Amino acid sequence: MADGLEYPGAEGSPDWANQLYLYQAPDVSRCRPIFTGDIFFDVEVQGVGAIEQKNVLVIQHPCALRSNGVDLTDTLMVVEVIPYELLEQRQWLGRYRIMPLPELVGSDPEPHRAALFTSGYLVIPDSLDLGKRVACLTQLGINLLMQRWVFHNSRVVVPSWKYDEAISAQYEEADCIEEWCDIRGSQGISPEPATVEAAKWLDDDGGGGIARCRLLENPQYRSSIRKAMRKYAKELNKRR
Amino acid sequence: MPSISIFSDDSPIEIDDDRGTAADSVTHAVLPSVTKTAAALLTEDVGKIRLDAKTLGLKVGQAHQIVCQHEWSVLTQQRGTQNPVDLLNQLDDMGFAWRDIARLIGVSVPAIQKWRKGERLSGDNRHKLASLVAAIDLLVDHYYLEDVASWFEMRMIESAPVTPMDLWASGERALFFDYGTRHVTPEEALTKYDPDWRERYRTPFVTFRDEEGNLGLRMQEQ
Repeated sequence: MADGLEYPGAEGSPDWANQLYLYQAPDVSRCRPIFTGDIFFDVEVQGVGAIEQKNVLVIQHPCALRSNGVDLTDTLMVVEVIPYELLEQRQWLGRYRIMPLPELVGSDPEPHRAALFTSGYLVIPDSLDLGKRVACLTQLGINLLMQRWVFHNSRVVVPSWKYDEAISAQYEEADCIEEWCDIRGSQGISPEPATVEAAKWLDDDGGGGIARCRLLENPQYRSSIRKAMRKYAKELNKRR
Repeated sequence: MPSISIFSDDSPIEIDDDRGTAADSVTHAVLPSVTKTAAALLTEDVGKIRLDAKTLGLKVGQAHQIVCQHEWSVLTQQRGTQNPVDLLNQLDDMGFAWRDIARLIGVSVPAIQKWRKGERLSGDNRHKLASLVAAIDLLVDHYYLEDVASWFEMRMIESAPVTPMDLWASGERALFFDYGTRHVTPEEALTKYDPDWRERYRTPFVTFRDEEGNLGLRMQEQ
């Protein structure tokens, strides 16, 4: 039984960037909805009695990010991202107060960063300008982030693959919305209305009795949801 | 005439009750050793056939792996002549997630997005893409996988988060095909992939649905 904190990748071959980051600047998709683990630079945050500019990582749980499936909640929890040394895999087993972000800024001579759990802030959604988003985490990256964050707060270690079971549907949903916006973008529709369309389609049951976003919890149905979603989004212009 | 049953479960050798005119007190003769020898010979013969069959099974298994790899290589050559964008669109039509396609080929999601927009692939990546589509061709043609993308995503065993996608992404091609062609059981495949999987994925945590309908994690009730 795995009973401690985990690190990404096979032992001895971490491949940090591919394991941890779905997107890194300058390739971050503007179509992807803001999600747990997203990293923004130079963001206005609410500090102790003052507004400050910080580099931050969104730490709020995927289920608690949005109030209605589309709009972000009034305030979001973030933690500060700071320059940090490159940790070896075995060092991930400790350092409980941080989420290591190795090779985060590829263009920087010192590219490694860490999210500091002891330096938390609140932000309003408007502060999270998509143009300032420098990275989105992979599903594995988010699982590891959740594992470290929960351990930091509760001293309980949950295997990362169990987080996958609990939050992979939300991750799939973010994937679907991103792809929908990408398809609709090619038809001249901007991401905001496209996101509303996608969320509505995912909330609908298509006559099957179970909302599509709920079906995404089961890996068995995911490919058929994707197929239907792609077909529907591509044909939307023809329908109207 | 005494009748002999070799394969009786309870008594390997059984003689019927015809004693002729002998009294009840007459002790039966010990069975002739020639009969035991026949049984022993039979055990020996069948045991040898069993061993031969096992050896043959292993050899046929290896031969099947070789022809499977050969067919995959031929299909890869054929797929390699096609436009990579068409191959990506075929994977899209099958319902694969783009991040899964990226993982299966061993590149980043932005790389896939750039290819879709017409950026050139390196020869190595073009081969990897063609080999993935060819492997899918082989499995669909011979083993009638109806929803192949779903098959790639489904756990091999419910209690362990390992999927055929993990086998492919880790480079375990022979094991991937053995599993895909149903020549190993899920347990056998998992044990070959990760001998410690039972211990590795043993956990007291389970998912549950909360009052608002969301999934959560908690300790298993004793």
